[in-house]
Amino acid sequence: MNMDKRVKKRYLVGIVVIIVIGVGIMSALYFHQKGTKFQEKSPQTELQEELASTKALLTVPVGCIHNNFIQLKPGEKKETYYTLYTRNGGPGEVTCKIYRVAHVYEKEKMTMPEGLNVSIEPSKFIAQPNKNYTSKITVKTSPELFPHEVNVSVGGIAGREYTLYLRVIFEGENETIGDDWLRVLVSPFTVPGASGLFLPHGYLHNNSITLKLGETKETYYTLHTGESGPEEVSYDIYRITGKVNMLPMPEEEKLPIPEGLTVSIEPNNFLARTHENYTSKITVKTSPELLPGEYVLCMEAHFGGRLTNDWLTVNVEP
Amino acid sequence: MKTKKILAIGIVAILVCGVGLVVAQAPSKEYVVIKAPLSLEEGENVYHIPQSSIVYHSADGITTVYTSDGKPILKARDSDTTQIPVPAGVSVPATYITQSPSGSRVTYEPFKFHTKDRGLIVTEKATRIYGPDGSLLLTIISEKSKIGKLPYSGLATTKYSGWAEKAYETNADSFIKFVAYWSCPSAPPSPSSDVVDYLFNAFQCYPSGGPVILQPVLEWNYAGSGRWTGAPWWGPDENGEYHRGGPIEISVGDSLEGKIWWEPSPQVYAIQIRNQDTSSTSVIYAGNPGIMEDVFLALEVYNVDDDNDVPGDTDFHSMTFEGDTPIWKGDVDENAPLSGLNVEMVSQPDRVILHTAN
Repeated sequence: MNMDKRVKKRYLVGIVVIIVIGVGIMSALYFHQKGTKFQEKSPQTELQEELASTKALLTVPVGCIHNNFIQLKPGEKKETYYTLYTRNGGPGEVTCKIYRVAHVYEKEKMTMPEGLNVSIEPSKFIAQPNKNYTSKITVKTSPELFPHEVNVSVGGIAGREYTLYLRVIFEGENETIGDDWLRVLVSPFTVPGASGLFLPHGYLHNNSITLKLGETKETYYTLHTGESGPEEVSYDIYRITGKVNMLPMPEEEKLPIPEGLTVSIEPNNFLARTHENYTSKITVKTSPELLPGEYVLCMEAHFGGRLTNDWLTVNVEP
Repeated sequence: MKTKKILAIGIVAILVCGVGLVVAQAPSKEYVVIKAPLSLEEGENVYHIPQSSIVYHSADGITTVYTSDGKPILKARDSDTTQIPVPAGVSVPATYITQSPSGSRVTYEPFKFHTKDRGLIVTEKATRIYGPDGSLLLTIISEKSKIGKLPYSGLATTKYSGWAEKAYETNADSFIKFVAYWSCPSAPPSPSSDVVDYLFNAFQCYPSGGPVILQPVLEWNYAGSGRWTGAPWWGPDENGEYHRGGPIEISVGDSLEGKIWWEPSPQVYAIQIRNQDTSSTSVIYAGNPGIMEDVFLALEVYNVDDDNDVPGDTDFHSMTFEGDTPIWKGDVDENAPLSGLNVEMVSQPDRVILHTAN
């Protein structure tokens, strides 16, 4: 019995120790999470980082794939292109490597499936400053890459997507933003939606601003490029009635911007690459002679042939 | 107007990368260096050629522009010409891109003509571009054998595919249900056999494996069916696979319901399309791919080259949502060789019309 009591005591001590350790770990996790939360960035810090990132994207060497989504039938071959814009970078050797990854934004190498063959040419070259260099990416598939029979009248698996990662190293240029991803969809027939998974889109940081006569205020517009690029971005800001919401905006809905109200956006008219955010500053100025009231502005973004818009309401107080 | 469309041997191309001011340098007496697309209209960023010109791309990599009576007025080596990226994701020599006025139409016709320098040229298929008033603007001839010799093999891609227009909300928190109603629009008036059109409402989420789309889809000519069908779709799953539910029959004018919702038991997203006129329904389950952050309404097209390839207007109405509520924004792809695209937010958030020319 005495032995049993000793064993029981040891068990109890063991259980207490486990509980104490468990509580300790949970407390540590709890406070760690709280600590992490406290370290979250403020909106102001995030904005400053976005602006700095935009500035870098407009100055450092950049590159991207022209068409990041290829849909092809099993056994087909297709091509796309990659262009590097050296800007002030170089001279230096550029090396391009392309391999399979799990998905877009992932960089860890995976085994290339049987029947999928990808190459880039040229994959190595010397790049000079202020030049553009274009390489051709060739994707070849064989029929075994999509072994399914698509039963059109029943449904089922209708396509299979693979993601490839293009790693671009520009010797001596650590700030090069040149890596990109290529999605390859293999299917006997078209697949709805797939081509638009990474379409560009944008948003205004504020949909309305209020200012007094003679004041100046700022807001921001962020464009996420998705799989569009390399393309020119341009913005247009004009006044509208605010009664009809159509895109493109009918001419009869446009109004002249009144004297005393000045609106500008910067940067404007720039080259953008894929999978990036570009943030521009919109500055609204009023002068004392402006009539107080509500002015609805339409901000139109043109990017790679796509057109989208957003509304900014400016409330001017006496 | 920024919506100016560019016909490029059937390609509609919007120029990118800021083509510089037009400069035609003359490295030799015979050949000029073309740095911008050929255009019937004068302006910046184009190389002007007269109306009724004949553009001849010969097998030896030379592009010659002739007057209508066969007199050569310009010769350019394609290899010396500036390459211009086009929407198909490739670059082509500027001599292969021709701008025409908005409203032009293209036909393919047998054609022959006498030239002062090459004698008789005969082709079974010349590209002829006519203005809105029916006058001949331009004739383009390509020797087929040349295409293979050129380093620009992407040239063969001449048709547009993509999301031609959409309404979207990508700045919301999360959605758990989206129901939209619309009537099946008129079929494309005179589509080529490879044209496919899709109309859908959709959720999109972003799990760690990349974006996933859930969509009840109205399909025109899926797999060469030559008719309207409806099917729920979702994908890609974690293996990269896209799934299609069984199709239902749909006729022009039928009233449709596209519904995507979270089913708490057994914890899956369901995607359903229902023909309210025939009561036929197809539903598919997507598991739990993630939080639905974005919503879309879209017209997606494949292999279109003019307004004959797209359906009539689609009026998405009586839309309801659970979770967040979208504020729709429009988006139009001006690269599409289509007129009349317009996204009309009739009332937020319940009614949006995707307009086409038909």
